[in-house]
Amino acid sequence: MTFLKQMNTEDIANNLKSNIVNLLNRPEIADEISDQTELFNMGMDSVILVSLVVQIEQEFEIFFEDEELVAENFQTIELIVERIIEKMN
Amino acid sequence: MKQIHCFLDCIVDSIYSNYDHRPLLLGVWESSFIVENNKITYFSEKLTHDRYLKRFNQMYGDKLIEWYEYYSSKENNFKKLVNLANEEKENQVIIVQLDLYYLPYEPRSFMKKHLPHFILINKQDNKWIINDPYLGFKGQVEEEHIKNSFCNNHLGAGFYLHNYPLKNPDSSIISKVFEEDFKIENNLLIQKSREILSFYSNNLELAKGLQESFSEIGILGKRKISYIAAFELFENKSKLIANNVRQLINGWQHFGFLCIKASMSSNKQENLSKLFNKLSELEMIEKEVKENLWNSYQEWNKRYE
Repeated sequence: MTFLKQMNTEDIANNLKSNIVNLLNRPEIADEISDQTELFNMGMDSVILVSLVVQIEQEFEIFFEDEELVAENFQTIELIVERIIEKMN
Repeated sequence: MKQIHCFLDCIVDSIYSNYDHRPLLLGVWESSFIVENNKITYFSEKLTHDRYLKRFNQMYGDKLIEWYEYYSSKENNFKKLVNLANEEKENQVIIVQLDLYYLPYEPRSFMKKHLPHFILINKQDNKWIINDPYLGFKGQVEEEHIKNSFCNNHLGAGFYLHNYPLKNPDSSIISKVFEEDFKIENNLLIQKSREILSFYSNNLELAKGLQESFSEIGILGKRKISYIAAFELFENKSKLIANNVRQLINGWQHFGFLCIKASMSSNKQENLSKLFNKLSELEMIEKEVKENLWNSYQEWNKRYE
């Protein structure tokens, strides 16, 4: 957890980007994805989203309430990072 | 009004600038689906578009015509499509079902998922132009992609619509259509979803299948946005009611996500209980929406009968 607390916004965003690219199985888009990219336009669907949520919960030792599981909370890396930081604090 | 139902979105897009599209969306909140192998699906040869075809022609005049021949080969039907597109008749739009798997403009499905999907299509300067109101795409697509997505679609359908002149549906036909199948107590989607959850409750070792069983539930949930068009049609613009409808749509999306999560979880029983509770919550929200809609309709009917 100490290690996780030391992660800054950029580290979390990079970690997310790498997970997303792997889940989408599209390594070629790694350079295209910015923090503001609409992930659903890059091929994200509900199964990938929930898989990402499960990964985030395990890696960052946080928990998303069921009510938070809606697409609008996971539209961009920026939005997801904000939620993760909020929960880690 | 976008992203309600790809077939109806094509019609709405073709008529809304001159005609009231809202009557066409009556009842779409309970659009057809079937349950096959414990999966709720709206893609099936058993489901036709006859209900909407009949309803459109009943309300707007006999201007929506099915050109696709189900008994004929895909290649012959594709020739028909090419001929129709080359004819370029004034005020005629072509609606066709393609498989999104072969269409590069939709990255979630392209070369990943087979999804039959309706779009508007025409030819300009010998180039195919797709207008996809549901997904918000308009642009040129290579003939090779059109042909593949048409000929390899495991279903298949095609219509043309003379979108001018039409008649605007009057209050008597609107009442007839609305009353025909509006029942406050009916909620087939909830009923069938409960039956599927009960199956998994009794067969926990199979609960991994929850994801697949409800993989199309989010789309069926989105169709509930048609309630908003009905409230507007019956002249009730309450923001509270619109919020209830949005809560319903988000609730179904949420239910779909919870199913995926439950299928990945080791504690299936606890997650199934949550899913049953979620269904009860959605059932209550929708019943309240329906009661409000019925009251709005009664008021509207008094003003126009």
